[in-house]
Amino acid sequence: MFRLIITHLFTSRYLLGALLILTIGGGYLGFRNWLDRRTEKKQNTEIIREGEEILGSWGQKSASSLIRFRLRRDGTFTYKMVQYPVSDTVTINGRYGISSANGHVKTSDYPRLIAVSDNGDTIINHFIAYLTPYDAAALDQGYDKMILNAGGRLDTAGLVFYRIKDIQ
Amino acid sequence: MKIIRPALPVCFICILFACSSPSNRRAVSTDELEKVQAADSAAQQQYAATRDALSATELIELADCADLSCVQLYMKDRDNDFVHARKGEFAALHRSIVTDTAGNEFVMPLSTLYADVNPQASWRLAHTLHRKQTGDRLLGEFQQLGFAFVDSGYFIGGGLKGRQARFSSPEYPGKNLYITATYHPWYMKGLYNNKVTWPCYVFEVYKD
Repeated sequence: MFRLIITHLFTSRYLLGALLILTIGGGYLGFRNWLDRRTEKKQNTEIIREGEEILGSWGQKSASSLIRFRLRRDGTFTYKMVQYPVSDTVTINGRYGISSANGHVKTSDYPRLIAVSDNGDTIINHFIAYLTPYDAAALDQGYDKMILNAGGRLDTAGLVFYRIKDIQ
Repeated sequence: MKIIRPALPVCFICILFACSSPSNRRAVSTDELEKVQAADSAAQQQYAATRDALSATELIELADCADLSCVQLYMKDRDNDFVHARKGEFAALHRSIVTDTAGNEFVMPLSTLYADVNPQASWRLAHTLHRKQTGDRLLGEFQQLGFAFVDSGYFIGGGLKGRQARFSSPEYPGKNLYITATYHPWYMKGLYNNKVTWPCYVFEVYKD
């Protein structure tokens, strides 16, 4: 009986078709993942995929400063800041994490990006107010944008960062 | 086999193209950063809040409303400047610093428009301003529309002087403006849920 069911299943065209599609899809994703990691390693960069839009290099330029930081896949970050008119670059390395709302904390203050330097100083502790989604070509003038708020969701004034090509 | 062999490189190229990340393509170079930022902020400007409080004429028009849906409909046209935070609670989108009597600085909207929607509550729609300057400006607008002091009475929340002043204008018969300076604009509601330590200037316009 059991054997008969198995035989029927494996001779079903629909099931075999579904298996083929799954194998092709899985193979594609696997291949893409392998290629991504290889490229990342070779080019010292981050290849961004769905759900990991926060990774990579971000920058913000104003009349008084240029801030760039890079969030790496392994949980480390590099923060570089130039304060004009002096053109010395302050570089800070450390680790970062995304803290999401759980338990009794207010959801309006989370998720937060928390980056702590190797010396133990908190460099970033901001609410992630906005992040351009992975498949959103028509948004934000065609550039990836991240808005960080010092407080929570209700803060209207935020720090706007753009994804930058230059690797930090 | 004849078809598969030439198709293979095409498939490979297709896979390679599919492998590119749209997020990575949407990166800007540091040199162009300033230009992109300027263009983006100019695009955002049209959605930015331009004011912190309602005008006198708007409050007079709102006096014709007797329920929340009417207020919601009216405020819908002003959603660039005001957000409907919770049922019956509108607040200015733009936030600024308000200093309390102890000198502490709070970042908050400079005005709110709250309606009492609690069961059994009598209709109350109050525009509360958090800075004396904006309050004075709004009072000036009302005075320009002919509103003059009529009388004053005891304010149930306990105003700064425990009083609420009534103003009326011959141009708007049947409409009265009530102004109170108080630390208790509302009882346990929204922004005023905790102890209010900054003076609030409450403007209410009602139709007889």
